Amino acid sequence: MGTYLAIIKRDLVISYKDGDHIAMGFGFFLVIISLLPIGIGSDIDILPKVGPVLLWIAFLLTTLFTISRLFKDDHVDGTMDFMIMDSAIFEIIIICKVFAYWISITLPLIIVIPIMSILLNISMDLILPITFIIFISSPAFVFIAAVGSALTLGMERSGILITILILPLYIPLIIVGISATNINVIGINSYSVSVMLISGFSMLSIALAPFLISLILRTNSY
Amino acid sequence: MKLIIDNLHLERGGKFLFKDLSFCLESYKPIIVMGSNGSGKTSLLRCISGLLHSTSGEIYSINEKGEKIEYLHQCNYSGHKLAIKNELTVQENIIFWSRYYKKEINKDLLIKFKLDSLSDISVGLLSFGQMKKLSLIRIFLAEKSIWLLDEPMVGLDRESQEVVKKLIEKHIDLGKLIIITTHTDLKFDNQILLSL
Amino acid sequence: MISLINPTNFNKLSEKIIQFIGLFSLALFIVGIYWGLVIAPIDYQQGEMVKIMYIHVPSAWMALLIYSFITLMSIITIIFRNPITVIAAKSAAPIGLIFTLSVLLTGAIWGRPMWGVWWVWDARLTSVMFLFFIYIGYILLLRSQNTSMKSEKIAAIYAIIGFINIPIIKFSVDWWNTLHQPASILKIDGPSIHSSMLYPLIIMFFAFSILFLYLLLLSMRIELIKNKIRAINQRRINDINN
Repeated sequence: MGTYLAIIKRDLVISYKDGDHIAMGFGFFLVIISLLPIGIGSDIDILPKVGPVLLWIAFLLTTLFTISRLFKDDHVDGTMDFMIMDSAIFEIIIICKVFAYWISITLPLIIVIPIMSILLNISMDLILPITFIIFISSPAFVFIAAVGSALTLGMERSGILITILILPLYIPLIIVGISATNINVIGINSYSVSVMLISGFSMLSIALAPFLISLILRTNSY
Repeated sequence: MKLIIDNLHLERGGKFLFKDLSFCLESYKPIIVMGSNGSGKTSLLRCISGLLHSTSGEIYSINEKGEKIEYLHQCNYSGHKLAIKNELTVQENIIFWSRYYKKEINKDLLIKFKLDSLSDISVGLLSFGQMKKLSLIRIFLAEKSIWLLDEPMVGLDRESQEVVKKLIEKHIDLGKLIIITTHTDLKFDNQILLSL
Repeated sequence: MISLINPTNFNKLSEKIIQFIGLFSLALFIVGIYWGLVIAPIDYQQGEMVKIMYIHVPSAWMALLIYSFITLMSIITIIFRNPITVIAAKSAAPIGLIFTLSVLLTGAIWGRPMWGVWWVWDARLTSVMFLFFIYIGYILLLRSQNTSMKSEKIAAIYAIIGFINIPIIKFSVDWWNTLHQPASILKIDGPSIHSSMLYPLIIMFFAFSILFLYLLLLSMRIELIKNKIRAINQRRINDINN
């Protein structure tokens, strides 16, 4: 247990000391969200309808653009080498690293989603359901993105490539997630069914992604 | 415990770095790998540490009874990449390793390496030699039974080289295994010289 | 003259006046808040809500003023390479960021009862939000590389480019027809606000300005101390090497 806590703590300390990374993710999220309303202007009727979609898009783009650094530092400075050699626990080390990333980058975004919803004039009844459904889908988002991060390790401009590689994998999540809070889609998904589907998706990602990532990183290690 | 390298081939870019390489690593017999730049010293160590896949051949270890056993988790590798975090201080790096390997911090080592008075300083500010010493501390702290050291003396001053040499001798005297690559003269008792 | 302003002189001077400035700002705040919240009349349309003006409007002025200050310091940095202006621009940025945040927050609180929504995407509000982004971008750029003259110069260039947003914010309420009320104080034909509200507002503005000065001196002194620590650490490393 000590080993894993040490890794989580180290990653959190580094991302706190190098806080720009967090601020950049945050700023990116805000800028993306503020772009659409400017284009639409102050048309108050359209904004609440497209608002939830915008939140999802901003959230997943921020995840995809910030995740490229997840394994990069450890790979470049050689820390990855000795972690790979402790092969029995490497998959758990990966889970720890993704978890530390989730705390430092994703959690702040989820916390500001209610505030962003207010800025987008999303109806008050929808704010909590939207935030909750993004919260439970975030493990899936982050773990799948981490696979992309491992795939593009050592490449330049990996952020864009990760987006192309990983975005198609997000489609089921996005469809279920957005329709869950969309009042215009009737019948197919009641909210609780969507919550269950997305929880399942998140569980599956947490279970499978570490093995995939470990395989990729081992292949990638030289 | 023995580590056996059996008929190892490694091909890189259509050229063999080494062919038919076979040797046996045993207790009390450190192996010193010498060779010019690009001769595959680093690749050999990375093959043994499982970070690089050889083209063909086998590396395995056997215990006293002659049974094949898993050895990777008993291995520790120190290479050109120092595996230290520039954002953290000297102390934070060491504390991380001690928690990671669940080992106590050896204060004497810090004093011998003259890093004790720099413990609150970010590693990014240190000189290369100091960084190299810090990165070696990880190997000494983890106390694994197979050491694969790639150029451990590079960048170290004479005094620190002596300290490192003593620690390596202590490791050998405990009957543990070690392979060192080097350019410079390094002499240990019963050493086996391997030229690539 | 500018070459006279060096870190040593600055340290001596600021040490003498910093407490006085802090107390002065505190006194102005007490007078301004009492006058604004207790004595000044309420608006016949907006009721008590109008009183958030005494925070909102000075914050907005400060947000713009501090950015202009950063721009000025950046220009001097590029032309004269004075270490003090570099530190001044660097220290002013987080303070400006906080004032901008305060404008956005008090604006949202004010807008909710007036317009029925917390936020509208009109020109004034959006351009202030982008001022917020520019502040963040500037701070990130300053911190992105190690503290070298080069990264400070690059950040200075960005600050000057970002200044384009300031006139846009100032005139957006006049150019575009938006929900936000037009300017009532800084107008060509004199202020359109009653003097009973204008005076406390002006006092609050001075209180905010002096507060800025106080915070600026404080964080510049901290920055100088940080530089000193950095130098000491470097010396410790070198001593051990030799």
